[in-house]
Amino acid sequence: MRQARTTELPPPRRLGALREPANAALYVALLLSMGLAIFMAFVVAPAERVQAEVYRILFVHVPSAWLAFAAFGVVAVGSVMFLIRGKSHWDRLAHASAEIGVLFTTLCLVTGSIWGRSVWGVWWQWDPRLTTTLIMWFIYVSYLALRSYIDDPDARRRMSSVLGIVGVVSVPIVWFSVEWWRSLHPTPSITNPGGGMPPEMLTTLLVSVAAFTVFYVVLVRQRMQLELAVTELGSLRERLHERNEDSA
Amino acid sequence: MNATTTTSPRPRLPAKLLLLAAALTAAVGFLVWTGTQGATVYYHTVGEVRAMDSEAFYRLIRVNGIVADGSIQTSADGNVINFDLQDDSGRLPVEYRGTPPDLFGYSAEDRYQEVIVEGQLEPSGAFRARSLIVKHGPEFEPREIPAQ
Amino acid sequence: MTNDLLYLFIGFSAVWVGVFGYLVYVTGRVRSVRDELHDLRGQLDAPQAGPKASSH
Repeated sequence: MRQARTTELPPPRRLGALREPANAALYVALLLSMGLAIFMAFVVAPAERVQAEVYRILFVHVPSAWLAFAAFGVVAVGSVMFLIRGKSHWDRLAHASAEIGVLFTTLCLVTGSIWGRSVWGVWWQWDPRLTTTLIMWFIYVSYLALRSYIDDPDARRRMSSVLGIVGVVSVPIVWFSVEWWRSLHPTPSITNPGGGMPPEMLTTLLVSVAAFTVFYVVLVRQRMQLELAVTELGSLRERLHERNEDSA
Repeated sequence: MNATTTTSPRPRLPAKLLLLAAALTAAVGFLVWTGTQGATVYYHTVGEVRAMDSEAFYRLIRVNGIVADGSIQTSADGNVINFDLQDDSGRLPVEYRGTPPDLFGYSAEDRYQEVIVEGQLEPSGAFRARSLIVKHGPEFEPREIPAQ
Repeated sequence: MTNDLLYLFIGFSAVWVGVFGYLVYVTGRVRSVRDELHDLRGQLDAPQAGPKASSH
């Protein structure tokens, strides 16, 4: 049975997300900061003495790692707030952030592997930093899997909140793994007294981290929008289904 | 629309969840425990390998150290590389067959010569490496442009 | 350092394809779900011959 569509509803917003001023500002900031980060990574930062060009992977590898940590921190915050307040938007934040954190962790592992192949001579080693990062990746992949397994929304939100809080323990373990245990992976260049880099490299790294942070914010907002729309779609479908059964 | 802000009742912890939390805690705990045990360190020092003596024979282990200055010798056909691995605790002759990473043997200033070799200690006291990894520390320097 | 530039290229491509691809995917999904929402709202609001519809 095909119903005529009412005309008083606004048309679907084709570029809706871009029209809102806050979103437009975010996208402008994203393009500017990303452009600047790429320019600095290839033009401003000098070639490295030993590694020549391949070290520039650092400018995507380190921001990926940093944002993975930040994203999983946000998952924990969203989970705690959900358990305290019980508002589903906190859960949506945790969910969106977990998915994006997994994305950044994946990119971090991939770029690290490529750099390792070039500098270390191997794609992968069971070094403490690499191993703990992989475990962290598994924890949040299982977080996402858990969410998809539980159909009841309330149970899903509660259970994933607990996992979102427990899982964040992996973040400091990954961070300190290079200090606690003997490892192949370099210790942090910025905070470590033994390390260091010239100012052009350091500035480039910080700009890259900032650009990736803007990207993270854009992604989280968009992912939360999607979740909201999907939830609404589910309840609308249910109502329509009920009504059709009533009329049958 | 009740989908946007659902207030849920106080959560009651289901058994499945506790099980999951327990498994996760066990995994993390295991990780910390193995990491702090000497038996499963990622690599050994030269001194540790020397102290293991016969216990280390023909076991696959990793050793970390600095390539001693001027000790690299490549065979005529280029397939065998011999060098001395050195750290504060001693010196270990290493024989490696294969193609080394590009960065191997780069610098003579001791800084970029830190390597990790994986292989076996032989009764002769030499270490037969089957893999050679060049370590890179946290220090980065711009490539020097020769002064005009 | 024979494959250096190739590695660098692959590394950067992986990251850009990853993040932009994800953004495009999510944005596309948001759009299609909103379109479907619009259709369903239209169906719900449409006058029906049968019993009275639940209010929107």
